[in-house]
Amino acid sequence: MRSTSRPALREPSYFVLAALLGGPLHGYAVIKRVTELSDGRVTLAAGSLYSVIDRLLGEGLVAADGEEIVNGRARRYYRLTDEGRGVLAEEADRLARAARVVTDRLSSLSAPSTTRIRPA
Amino acid sequence: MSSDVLEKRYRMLLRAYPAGYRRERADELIDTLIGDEPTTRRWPSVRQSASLVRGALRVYGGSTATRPTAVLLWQGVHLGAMAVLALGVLIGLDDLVEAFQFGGLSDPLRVLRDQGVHEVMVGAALVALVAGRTRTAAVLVVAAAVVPTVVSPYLFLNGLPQWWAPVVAAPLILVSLRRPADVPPAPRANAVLVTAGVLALHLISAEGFRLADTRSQVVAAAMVVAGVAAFLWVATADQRLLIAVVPTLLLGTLHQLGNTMSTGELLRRPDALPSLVVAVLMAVGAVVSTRLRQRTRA
Repeated sequence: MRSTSRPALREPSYFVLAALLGGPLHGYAVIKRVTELSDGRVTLAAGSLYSVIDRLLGEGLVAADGEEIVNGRARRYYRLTDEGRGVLAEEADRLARAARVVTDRLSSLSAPSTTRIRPA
Repeated sequence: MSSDVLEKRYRMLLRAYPAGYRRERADELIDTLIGDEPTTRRWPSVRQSASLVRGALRVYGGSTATRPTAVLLWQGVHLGAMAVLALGVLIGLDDLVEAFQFGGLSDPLRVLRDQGVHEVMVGAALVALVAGRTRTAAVLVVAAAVVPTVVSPYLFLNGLPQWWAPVVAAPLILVSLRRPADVPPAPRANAVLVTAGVLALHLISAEGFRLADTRSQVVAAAMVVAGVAAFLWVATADQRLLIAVVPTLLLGTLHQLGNTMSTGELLRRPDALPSLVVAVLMAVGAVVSTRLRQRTRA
C-alpha cells in the first residue's frame, strides 16, 4: 500500500492513467482518449504527453507493453501497472470524498428548512 | 506528400531532445504527432512545437534520469559556475573596451595589467569548464581569484563585478569535482545554450527605468517582463536554470554590497538582493518539488 503522503496526481497524469484503464494504448490513442474522458478539457500535446508518460514510467505506474511497426515507424503501447491502478483508485476516491464535502453542504443549504426563525 | 514534409519538420524539432532520448523515442513521437488521420498540414502547429521544446527541456533537466534531484543539483551547480564565469568575462570585456576607448591607449600595458590578466585567466577557466576539464578549471579559477589581484588590485579596490566572478565560481567548481559517477555531466552544447540563456537574462536593458519620460519606462518594463517571462518559460521546464541563475545574481548583489554598503539601498535595487532572494526561493522550490516527485518512485 502506498504512503498517504503521496502528492496528488496532476490532472494530465490522472487522465492518462484513466485512459489506460481500458487496456494498453499507444501515444496518439492516449491523447484522443484523454480528450474524450475529460470532455475536451485536457488536450495533451505530444511533448506534454511524453513528459507525463516518462514520469509515470519512472514512478512505476505505467509500463511499456509491446511495439508494432506502423507506416515504417515503431508504435509503442503502454499499460497500467497494478500500482498505477491502485494510485488511480486512491486518487479517484480522494476526489470523490472532496466532491462529497461540497455536494452534501450544497444540498443541505438548498433543502427547505422546517423551523424557520422569523426576523424580529 | 504533405505528411512527409510535416514529418521532416517534426524530426527537425525533435533535434531539441538529447540524442539518447531521440534514438529511443523519435519514431514513437512522430507516430503520435502525425496520428492516424490524413493531414494536409505542412508545418507543425505552434502548440505542438512549444510542447516539444518544453518536453526536450524537461529531459535535459533530468526528468527521465534515475535520480532527477541529483541531476538537477549537480548539473545546476556546474552550469551556475559556467554562467557566472561567462558573465564575469562579458562584463570584463565590456570594461576593457571602455578603458581603451577612454584614454587607455595612452598606457595599454597598465590597462592590461589592471584588467587584462584577470580577463584572460577567467576566460581560460571558462574554456576549461566548457571543455569538460573540471580539474583544470578548478586550478585556473582559484588562480584567477588570487593572481590578478596580486598583479594589480584595481578591480578589487574599485569593487567591479567581474572581480567577484572567480570568487563565486571557485566553490561551485570545487564542489562539482565531487559529482557522483551516476550523474552525467551536462552535454557541452546544452551547457553553452544554458549559459547563453542566463547571460541573455542579464543583458535585458532596464536603463529606461532611470529615464524620466513615460514611454522609455513603458518600453523598459515591457522588455523586462518579456525577458523574465521567456526565461521562466524555459526555466520551469529545465529547472537547472533556476539553480544556474543564482550565482550570477549573487555576483550583482556582492558588487552592489561592495559599492553601497547599505542594506536599504540593496533592497531598493530590484536587480540585486530582491532578485537573488526570489531566485534562491525558486531554486529551493525546484529541488524540493523534484525531491518529492522522486520520493514517490517505485
